[in-house]
Amino acid sequence: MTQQPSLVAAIDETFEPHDFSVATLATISERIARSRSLEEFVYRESELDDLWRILDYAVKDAHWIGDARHAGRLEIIRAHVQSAHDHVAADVPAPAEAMAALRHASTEVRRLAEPAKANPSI
Amino acid sequence: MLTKADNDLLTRVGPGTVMGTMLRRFWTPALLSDEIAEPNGRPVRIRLMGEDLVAFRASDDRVGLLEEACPHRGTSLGLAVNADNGLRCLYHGWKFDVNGQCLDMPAEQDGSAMCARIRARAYPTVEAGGVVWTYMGPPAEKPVFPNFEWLSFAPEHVAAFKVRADCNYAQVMEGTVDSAHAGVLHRESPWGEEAKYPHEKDLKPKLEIEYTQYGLRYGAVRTLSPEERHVRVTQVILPFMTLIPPDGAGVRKHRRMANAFVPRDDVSTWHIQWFFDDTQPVDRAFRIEEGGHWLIDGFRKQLNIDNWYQQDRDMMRTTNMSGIRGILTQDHAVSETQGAILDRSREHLGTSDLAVVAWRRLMLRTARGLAERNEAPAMLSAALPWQTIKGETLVFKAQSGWKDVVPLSSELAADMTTA
Repeated sequence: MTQQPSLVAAIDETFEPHDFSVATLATISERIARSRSLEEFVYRESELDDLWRILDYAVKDAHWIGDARHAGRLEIIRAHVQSAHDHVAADVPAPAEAMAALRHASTEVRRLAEPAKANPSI
Repeated sequence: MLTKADNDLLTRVGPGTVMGTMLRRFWTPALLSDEIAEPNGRPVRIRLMGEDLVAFRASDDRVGLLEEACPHRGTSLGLAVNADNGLRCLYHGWKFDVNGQCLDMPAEQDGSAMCARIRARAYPTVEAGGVVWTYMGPPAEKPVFPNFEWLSFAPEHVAAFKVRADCNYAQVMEGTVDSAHAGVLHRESPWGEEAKYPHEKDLKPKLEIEYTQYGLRYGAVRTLSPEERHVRVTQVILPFMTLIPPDGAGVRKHRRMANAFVPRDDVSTWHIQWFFDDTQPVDRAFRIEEGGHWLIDGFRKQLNIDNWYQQDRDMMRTTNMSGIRGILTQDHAVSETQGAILDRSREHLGTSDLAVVAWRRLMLRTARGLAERNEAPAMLSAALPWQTIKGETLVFKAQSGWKDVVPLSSELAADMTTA
């Protein structure tokens, strides 16, 4: 189950991601686009922290079960999310760069979808 | 999550470091006034931000804070004679006043001419709220002293404490901008049994932040009913102070707390706390029991990492979550066992860590702004209404927000727009 943008928190609140689906990435990206103040970017950083940890544990799980190929692809997504995080967290936040990183992450998630059909975490 | 570079920047505080340079631009609580209670009494060795210093109370009651090593041969001025408004080194008799000016060099041929040119590094001091504060930055940049409300309370209405934490300052600081832990670490019933207090029952408060001229404030909002919300508003004063709102009943009903997490060096911290209550005297003995900060030498806790905080597994099954006696000891236990300097590139933060993230970002931005663009923090260039900044506990209607109920004054509001 993915979260729909219309159901998530206001821009000056935190949205808690529960997965790293394309819809979740789009929701966070849209929230970054609407952010203006440093406060709002702190909320976005916190959301990306949460998203990153979901991915980090997915990477760990993939390594744990010995699926190096899947782990490698997840690591690419995690790296894009980390890049988005660091752009949002910069002293002068760079939302366009953060959203670009999330678009790259979404592309990788779509690529992951076919072989990951058997993986309920996606 | 921080990069390793940002984690280093946040945690390294010695002379010449980016963060150390920023921290030195603020008035800093240094030691308790009681440590140097007597004029002409014993000098006290004190380590602050990686610098070894010596504090003393001169004959005229002024307080000096000097570099510990005598400028002559490096002998500790902690051994010195304290008399006639100065410290006289035991080795060759060089004497320094509270400003570091050399007053006498009895073993030198041309002592009087030479000593006018000799100075020991000295930092200015102010005594307030039972604490000696100092300013360790460039003299020309010394800010107005922050006259917090409790600093002018009658002595019986304010109590200052000092406890050493054996870890980096940022770890213990982050513990007080983290409301989510209160209902777990400080839970006054075993895990699995019914919680006693509302904050123990609702472990997922909604966190909201607001940047200010002095740092930030954040609210932990809990739902009381469909119509009512409860919020605890914590004030975060740059660089390392927090003002905690009152809670509970009895002596805690109106009692407020202020914390300062002063780096002793990169791997240890002076945790200075004030408890203050304008409705009744503060009960020091009760607080020590409540906090669990019975002390041994060097302001170390009796319950410390070396004895694993005397954690009691029976207590965990029957009495409280932690099995550790005292709120402060519980807080220090979770911070100290993170390691001397926590590696924040390996964390797994969630949205419940929002205020921690907000404080870190403000610290990093402020330190880099000073280092790279010579931008001093705004709070240092203005005489803010410090006495109006308070932690608050309040109940408000669900259709409004706590920021509307306790709005920031225009003097305290920050302009944090980036685009």
